Amino acid sequence: MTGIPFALGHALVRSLRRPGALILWVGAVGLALFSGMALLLLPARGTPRDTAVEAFLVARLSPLPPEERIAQLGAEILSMVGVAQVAYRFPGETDPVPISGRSVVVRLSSPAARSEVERRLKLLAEVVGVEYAQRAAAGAQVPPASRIVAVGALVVALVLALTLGQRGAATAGRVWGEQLGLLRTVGWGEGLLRLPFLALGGAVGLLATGLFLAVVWALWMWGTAVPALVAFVPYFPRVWPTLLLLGGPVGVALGLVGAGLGALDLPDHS
Amino acid sequence: MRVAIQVSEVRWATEDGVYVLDNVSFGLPHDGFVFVVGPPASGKTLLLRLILREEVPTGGQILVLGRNVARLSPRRCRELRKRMGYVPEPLRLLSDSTVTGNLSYKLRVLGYRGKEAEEHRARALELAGIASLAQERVGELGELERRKLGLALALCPEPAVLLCDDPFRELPPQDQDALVHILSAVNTSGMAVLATTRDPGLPARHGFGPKGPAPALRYVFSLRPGVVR
Repeated sequence: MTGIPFALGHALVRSLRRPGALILWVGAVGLALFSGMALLLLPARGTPRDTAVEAFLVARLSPLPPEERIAQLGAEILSMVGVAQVAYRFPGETDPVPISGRSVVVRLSSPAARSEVERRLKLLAEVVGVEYAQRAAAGAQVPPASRIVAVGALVVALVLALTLGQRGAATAGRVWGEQLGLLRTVGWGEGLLRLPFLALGGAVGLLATGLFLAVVWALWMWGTAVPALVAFVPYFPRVWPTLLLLGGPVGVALGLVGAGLGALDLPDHS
Repeated sequence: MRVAIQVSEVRWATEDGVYVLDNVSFGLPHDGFVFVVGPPASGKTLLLRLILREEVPTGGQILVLGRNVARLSPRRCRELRKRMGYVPEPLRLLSDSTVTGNLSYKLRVLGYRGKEAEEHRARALELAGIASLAQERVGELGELERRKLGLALALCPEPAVLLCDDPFRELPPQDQDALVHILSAVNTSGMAVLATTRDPGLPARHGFGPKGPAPALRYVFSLRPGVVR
C-alpha cells in the first residue's frame, strides 16, 4: 500500500506535539546504552581489561628533518593500523624511556601490533632506528563495588527505558487516536495499526543511539579534563567497534520493545 | 439483477452462545438502496463489520462485489475495501483539520495524490453537499455537516458500495430526511447503498417498503434482537 509511508510520517510528525514524553524516552534508552558501555569499560578486578601492558615504539629521527616534514610524519604514523597515539620527544625526556635523540614515541593499541608498525616505521627515510618498550599500565582506580553499581544502573535504565517507552507510545497513541480511527475505516488491521508505534520506537532508538554516541565522543575528546574519567578515556577506542556495531541495534531494539508494550492495547476511540 | 452484496444464511454467535445474527439473508443490488432496521443490540453494526470483514461469521457466506470476504487475504481485503465506502458510528474525523484536510488525509493514505486526488475530493464534496464548506475546520461544523463530512470521507475514492452505520442517529427529523435525500442522490449516481437505522419510521417516510419475496432495488430489511440457544 503506497500510503503507508505517508501515514507513518504524518504520525511521527504529530507525535512531536507531546515532546516531553519522547525526550524522556530517548534519554532513558540513551542511559541504558551508556550503562552498558560502562560495564564494558569498568575493570573486573581493579584494572581495565586487557590493559596490563602499554606497548611503545620509539623511532629515532635523522638529525635535521624540515619542520613541515615533521608535522606530516606525525600524521602519517598516526594513520598506521595499530597506532593509538604519536608524540614527539626531545633528548633528556624520560617518557616512556630515557630519550637520547629527537624521537617519535608511538603508543601501540596492543603489543600484537608491534611487528607491522615497526616494519612500516623502518621504511620511513627520516627514521634511523626503532626501539621497542613496554611498561605496566597504571590501571584505573575504581571502587570495588563499581561493577555492581553499573549492573544496578543498567537494570534501572532498562526498566526506565521500557516503562517510559510504554508510556511514550501510549501518549502517542492518544495523539494519533483520530488518525488511527480513520485508518481503521479504510481497512487497516490490528497489525498495520501498530506500525506507527513501531516506527516511533525505531526512531526513538536511533535518536538515543545518536545521543549516546555523541556523549561518548564528547567524553573521548574532552573527558581527560574530568579526573574520574582520565584513566578510562584512553581505552575508549577499544570499545568503539563494539559500540558502533551493537549500539544502534540495541538502541532500536529497546525502542521497539517499549513501543510494542505501549501498542498492546490500541486506544478505544480508534 | 447484478448484486453488490449477497448475505446468505449468516449467523454470528458470541462465546456465550448468544446468536446476535441468526440465519440472515438478503441481497443489495448493484444500483440498490437497502435500509437495515433493528432495535439497539440487534446486530446492525455487527452486520456491517461482517461485510467489511472486520469480523468473521460463525456460519453462512457473504459475497461483496462477487468475492467471498471470509476467504480474502488481508491484502486482497484492503484492495476490496477501497471499493467500499464506510460511514462508521461514531464518526472518525480529524477534528483539528479542515474538511479538505480530512479528505486529503484519507486519499493520501490510500495512495492518491495530485490531480486524481483533487478530482475524487471535489466529487465527494459535491455528492455530500458540503462543497461550500471545503475550507471550514471540523470543530466549527454543525452536527449535520459533520455527518455529511463522514459521508464525503466514505465517498473517497469513488467506491462501488456505500455502507452507513446509522448516520441518522440523534438528528432531528428534517436533518435525517436531508441525509436520506443525499444518500438517494448517491444511489442514483450509480452506487449501491446500505444504511442502518434503529428508527423504522425513517425509511417508511421515504417510501421504502419491507423486503418481499421478489427482488427489489429499494427495501427495508429488519433485524431481530439475538436469541440464546
